[in-house]
Amino acid sequence: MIRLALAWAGLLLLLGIEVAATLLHAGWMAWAAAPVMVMLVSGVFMQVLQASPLARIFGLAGLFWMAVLLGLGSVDFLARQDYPVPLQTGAARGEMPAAAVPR
Amino acid sequence: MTEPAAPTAGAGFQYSSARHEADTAVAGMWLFLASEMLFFGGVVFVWLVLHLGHPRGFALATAHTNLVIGSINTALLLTSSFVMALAVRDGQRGDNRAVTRACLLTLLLGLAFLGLKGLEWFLDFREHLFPGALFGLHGPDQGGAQMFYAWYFVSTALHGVHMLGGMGLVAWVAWRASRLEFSRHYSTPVEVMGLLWSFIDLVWLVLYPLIYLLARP
Repeated sequence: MIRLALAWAGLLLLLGIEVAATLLHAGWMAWAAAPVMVMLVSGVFMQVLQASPLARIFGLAGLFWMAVLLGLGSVDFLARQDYPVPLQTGAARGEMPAAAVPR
Repeated sequence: MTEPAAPTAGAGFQYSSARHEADTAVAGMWLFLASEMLFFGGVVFVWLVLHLGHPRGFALATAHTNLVIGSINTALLLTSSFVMALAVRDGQRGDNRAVTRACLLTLLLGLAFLGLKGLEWFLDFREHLFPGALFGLHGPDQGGAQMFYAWYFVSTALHGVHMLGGMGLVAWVAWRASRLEFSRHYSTPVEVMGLLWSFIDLVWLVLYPLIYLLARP
């Protein structure tokens, strides 16, 4: 009971920190607070560490494949270099217009 | 030929004990939750990609989201998850009346969440924030803002549908507890529904910063 109540109080505190940080124009702090909140809920409310090995494997597999989905999926968008399309006819002669030089 | 072993009291014939049966049910729920992680992972991925492509449009749109309702809703859902965790503990003690009470309180908090979400949607519609020809935000970044609101309505609707399903199942657990069906030796449905409800809370803990906080200017 005390463990659950402490986790609940901690979660509300973290929510307060998220809101306060956002009002102070530091919304990025949610990147740090949200994972802690997720760990508190899964660790204390869902008792993932007390579950059977099979259940833990399923939970970890879900996390793993979600990391693959987000990581591998984002690679293209994070690493993509946009080149403006050459508009001048000079491009046809093999000259690269100034606008097409990579950023 | 040997006779199959007699089933253990309280457990199906294919399980060696009631604990074995409960562990299997819990593992099955975690398997379902793993598939749900990938389902909502796609929703998060769409946010990431659209935000990378339209940072100013997302900032414009996020500035118009209702931070007050969103934050109150987060507190409501966190509290409901706490109450449901109490129900799981009470179930393991065989306290059916406490399970019923906790499930009913969870349902009430869930209803409050959905009510506030409905109010928020109503206010969004009134401000013409639904994407389309009548979209209420203008300027060079309105395209990105429309993308945000398209994502917002889809993701909150998907979460809302999960809430409705979860509430139906929590009501079923409350009904079974009111018939004194759980005991020290058998409270698997409470345990499994506790997992599902907390997972719905987890999804919201991820959606909340994406909707209201991270892109806010």
